[in-house]
Amino acid sequence: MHDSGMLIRHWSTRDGIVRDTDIMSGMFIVLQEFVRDSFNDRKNNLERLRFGSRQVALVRGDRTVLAAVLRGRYLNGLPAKLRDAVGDFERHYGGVLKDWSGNPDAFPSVDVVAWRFMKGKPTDVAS
Amino acid sequence: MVDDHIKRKVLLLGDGAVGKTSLIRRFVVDKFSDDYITTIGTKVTKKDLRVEYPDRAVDLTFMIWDVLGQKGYKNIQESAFVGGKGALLVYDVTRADTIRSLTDYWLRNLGKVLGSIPFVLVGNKIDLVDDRTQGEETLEYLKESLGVRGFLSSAKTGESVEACFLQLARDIVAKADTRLGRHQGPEEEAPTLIAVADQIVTDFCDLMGGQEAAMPIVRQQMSRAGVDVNSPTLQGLRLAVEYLADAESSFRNADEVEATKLRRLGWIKEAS
Repeated sequence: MHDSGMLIRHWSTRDGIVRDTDIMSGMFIVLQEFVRDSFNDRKNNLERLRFGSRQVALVRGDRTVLAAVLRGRYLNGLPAKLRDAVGDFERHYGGVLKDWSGNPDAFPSVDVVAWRFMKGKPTDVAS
Repeated sequence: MVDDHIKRKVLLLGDGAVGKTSLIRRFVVDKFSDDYITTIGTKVTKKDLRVEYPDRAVDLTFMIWDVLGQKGYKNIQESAFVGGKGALLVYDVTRADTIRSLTDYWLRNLGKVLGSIPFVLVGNKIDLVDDRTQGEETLEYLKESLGVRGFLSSAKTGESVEACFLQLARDIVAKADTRLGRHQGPEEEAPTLIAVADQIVTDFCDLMGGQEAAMPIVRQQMSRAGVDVNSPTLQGLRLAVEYLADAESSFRNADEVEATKLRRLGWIKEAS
């Protein structure tokens, strides 16, 4: 997700998110900002959400947020891997991200991010 | 086409209780609770729309951020502005304080975060006034002083709701066109006939309250006048203006129709 709330890319191996992913992206960013504002803390970020057996791990870079929705209790080092992925992505696309218009085609190699985390080919790839 | 498909974040701004959320409920198929706005400050909705020009159509997806209007939530409001590519600035025609807020609060804060972005003025709740004259005069003054388009609307009756969003879409497409160098540069003094045709169509659509109702008439009258939208002629455009005036005469008074016709003929003359 771009820090404007616009979705850059969504991957899924199963039917995990039932609602519109563009809107989910925006609302994740809204929630993130709401929490930062509530605690009057602009340095830290909302890093994890838990809902039933599902949890969301969130990592924020300079201009993007990478969120992973997963089932189970343990993250097994996932946040560090997400941070690496965000760092690599932002290094590669820093110029585009600075004033991104909202066109997802501006990131032709974005799927590399998914290949790091998802075994096999994602069954539902959308932006 | 500017792109295959343009997706943009747009902002819905204005004081509390001016009717922003009601406007959006008129415009989008909404599945999420409005409680988000009061609980966490913003609600995001989505709308796909198509902007039609005489020679092309552009598909857009608007991600619409309905931002809490109460002042004093500056951090939440300003963080919602990030990445916005356009805005609807809404005021309540029955409350003068909401008009002052547009310039004193919303435009000032918006400018600090985003600089200059396209925006459209919306004077909402026009259904609540008996005499529209004052509302029209205020809107004209605002439009002129800010150099933007604007509409008097009613979320209750639906008046001009779609037109507001479509105008913003047109302004955003125009900005994208300019960025990509698709328009004539500033050194071009006279507008091209294609640009004039576009201007006439936009004008007609605005008067008809939106493209959905207006475009079938436009296509019919352009075709009747023999206008090839990719290469319009002076004569064809003049004829089309006459035919569009005929179409308008069934729902506007003769003086208004004549004034509109003369204005459009003036645009053609400028380009000739």
